[in-house]
Amino acid sequence: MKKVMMGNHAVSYGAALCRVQVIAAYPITPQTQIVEKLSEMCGSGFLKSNFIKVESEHSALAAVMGASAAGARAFTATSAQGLALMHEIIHWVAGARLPIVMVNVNRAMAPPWSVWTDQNDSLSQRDTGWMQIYCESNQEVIDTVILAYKIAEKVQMPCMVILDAFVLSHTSEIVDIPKQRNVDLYLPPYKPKMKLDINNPKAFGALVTPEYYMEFRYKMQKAMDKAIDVAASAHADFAKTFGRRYDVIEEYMTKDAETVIVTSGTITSTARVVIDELREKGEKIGLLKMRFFRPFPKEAVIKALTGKKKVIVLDRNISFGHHGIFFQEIKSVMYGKKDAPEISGVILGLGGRDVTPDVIKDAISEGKRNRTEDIVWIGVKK
Amino acid sequence: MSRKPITFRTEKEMPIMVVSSGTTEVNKTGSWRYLRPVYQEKDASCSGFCLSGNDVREFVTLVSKNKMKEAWHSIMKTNPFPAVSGRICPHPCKSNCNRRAVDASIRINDIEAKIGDFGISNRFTPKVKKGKMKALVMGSGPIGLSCAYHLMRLGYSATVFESGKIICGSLRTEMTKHKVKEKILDDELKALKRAGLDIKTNVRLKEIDGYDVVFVEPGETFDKIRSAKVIAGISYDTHGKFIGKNDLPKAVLPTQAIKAGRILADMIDNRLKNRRITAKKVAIVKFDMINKDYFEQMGEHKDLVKDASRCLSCGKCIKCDNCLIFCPDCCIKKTEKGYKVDYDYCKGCGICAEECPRGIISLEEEGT
Amino acid sequence: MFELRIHGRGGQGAVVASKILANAMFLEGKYVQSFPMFGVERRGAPVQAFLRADDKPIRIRCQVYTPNHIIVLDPTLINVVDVTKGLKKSGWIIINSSHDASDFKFKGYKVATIDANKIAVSLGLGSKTAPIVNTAILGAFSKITGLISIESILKSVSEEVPIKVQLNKQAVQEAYDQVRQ
Repeated sequence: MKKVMMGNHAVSYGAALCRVQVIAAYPITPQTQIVEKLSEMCGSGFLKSNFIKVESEHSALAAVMGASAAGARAFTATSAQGLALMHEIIHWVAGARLPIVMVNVNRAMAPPWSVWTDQNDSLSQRDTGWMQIYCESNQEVIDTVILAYKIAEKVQMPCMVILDAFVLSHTSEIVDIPKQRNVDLYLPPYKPKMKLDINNPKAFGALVTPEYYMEFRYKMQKAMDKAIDVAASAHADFAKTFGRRYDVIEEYMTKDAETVIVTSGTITSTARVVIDELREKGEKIGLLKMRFFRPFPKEAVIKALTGKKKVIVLDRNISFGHHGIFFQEIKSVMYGKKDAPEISGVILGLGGRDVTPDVIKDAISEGKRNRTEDIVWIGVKK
Repeated sequence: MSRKPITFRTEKEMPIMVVSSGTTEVNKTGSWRYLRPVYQEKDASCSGFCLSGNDVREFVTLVSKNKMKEAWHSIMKTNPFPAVSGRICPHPCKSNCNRRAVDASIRINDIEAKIGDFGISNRFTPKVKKGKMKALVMGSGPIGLSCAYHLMRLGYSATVFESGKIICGSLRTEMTKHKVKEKILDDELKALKRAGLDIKTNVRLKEIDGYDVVFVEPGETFDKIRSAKVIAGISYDTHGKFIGKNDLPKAVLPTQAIKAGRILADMIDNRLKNRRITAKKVAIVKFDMINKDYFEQMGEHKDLVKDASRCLSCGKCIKCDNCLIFCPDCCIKKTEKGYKVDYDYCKGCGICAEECPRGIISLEEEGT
Repeated sequence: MFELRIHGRGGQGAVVASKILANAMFLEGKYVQSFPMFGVERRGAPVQAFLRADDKPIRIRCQVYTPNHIIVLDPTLINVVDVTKGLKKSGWIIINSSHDASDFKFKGYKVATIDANKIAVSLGLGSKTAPIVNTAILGAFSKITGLISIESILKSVSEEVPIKVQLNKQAVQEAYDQVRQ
């Protein structure tokens, strides 16, 4: 059924369709409508779920972690400062191999205080072992929540589904809500083999000496590797069940492109318009959309960018003291590869600075001009 | 502790998350303990300070459930004059009531008086045992009356001889001091008479014969006592059948005298049956052992039944399950006899002791 | 694709108006995108809401800088905010006002007025001091621009408005009939 709804509500519907059993979340702009809608759904009986009121995001993820450890499909949502507050538990959830899905609404980190979008909050968590998927439309958001549970429960690693603050979270557009029975077919109930069970008591998370710790971490890395393959089959099943095709990346007009820009999040959507315009003018330019950031879709990226002349990475984030984060990772993946392109990076859109088609065009020309390691900041008043 | 050390040769053999391979019950964490929680019911502060030695907690609890008849019988186990006592006793039970740490003491004296009044208006009769032994009390002061009553409860038939015209002299003087009507005492005496207490005034005896036990109140006179197996109150010859004046339990206030009379009745009975029973020392719950967090502040209540319901039940387990719920090691179990700590696993964290609202669980040093 | 900007004060229903209109456009088979001015608002402060509608999927996701038309829910905003900023040439300015359109001097633009306050108060929508004018203004919008049929607006009101549905629909109709150029 198609309905006009905001991104946050698309999240709520996604979680509800997955029949999440435990929800614990703490309100923070711009995520509040996700939790409001879910609690409405629980109240009306539309969603049979346990809604736990908590006093902070740290407690929210702790509650969800406990529920997941006991075998429940659990969900939470947060943003920026809230995500940062959860940090130690974020590490724990991944190490405990709990397939929790958390929606993070990308919001700039304070100070300065900001409620507008950029990616530093989610990217600060990139080393924790959580999968990360960036969405560019409300349809993609509702679909990705379902996909996230499918993949997470298969590889037993948690997954963050990410959408931009306001540009997606508070923007209403048409969403095709998947049918419940199709979701039930696609995503069966969560039945973990090992869980907290008073009839089969075990202790989890105990002290491990240097003799074995590395092996547990090695297994986490292997699970991340496996996730790329699991994602492929999850995406294929999704297309079969719901008719919409997704992949770990998306290539737009890259086949004969000489220049490729790399984007993530809603910038991708606006960039498509720019690519079309430039193509009309005869430029051989294409777009690589990064959907999966963790696990990093190495093979797909290498395949897409090998043979291209120039790659310009648009980062809506910055790792202080180094470069934009997507830029660093793309570069590292292409290092030493045969026929690797020249790669440059630009920083734009921090703190919700509007990314218009003109800004993207600016980014492209700056990126083309820049042949060094210099990071270029687009639109900074200098 | 026999268990095989776990070794893995490759990561493939390992589970994906660190998890105990078998039951963790082999790890007897009780060995870590240096403080041990002990579940032991105790006397309430009120009972501990009661001059008459009543189980105050018991009768307050019964009143809170509006079980007035049961409350009357409860207090009659120790004090046959509740209506009077409630009005004249300086009530250290109330001054030491642990509820005062939360909001205000329970109005125990008023509750006691209410119980007594209930007994009077309903003309209840106290329960006594029938027996072959005969007891004589010379003198009708509160010690004597109490002693006679408690001997009836132990299975003696009791007679009280008063040399003067008025019975329970000092009790009446105390009542006048507190402006309490004499009729109340007389009504409570009627209950004892219904139970079989025989009281005679204006009796002056030269010789006493035909009683198995005799108690002579200080101040009474006689010439000879024959055929008694136990005689109390005389400092003649303290061997064998005599309980001398100096061995009598001490009492100053009337409510203390009521307790003294009961203790004396027990002493006499023990002497007759050649028994030696030493009183057990029971610990009392003081207000620093109470966990106030579990009680809502409300203040004194006009309605005595509602006021009684503020009783914390210090020292008496009401099966609130706090200890069981809060034990982080799940090593407290509920049984019919109360709660049991599994000392194989208890680490002595003390949370159960802290969270017991009524001071039943205390921490002791391990090995003492 | 057309873009619309709605000017109002916090609490007047500018955001809801954009939602109702977006839904109406969706009912007519259009692709839509509607969003409020992003940020923190309070009652009485100037707010804006935006709408994009097109026959094909809308991929652009940035602010609306050059709307085709604008709606002004509160005429006092005209002196406070540059309501015509970025407005495309010969775009419509639809104002909630009891004045004639000719009383407003906007060079190069077309003005239409509708006394939505009067309609709202007469139907008991909101209060005299704070009438809810968002449904009425959509009726005026439909008539003036012809970009959306009144039937679709009425249907959207049934779906999106939680209370006083009939009265709100009446407001739409009355404004449709009464709007003046």
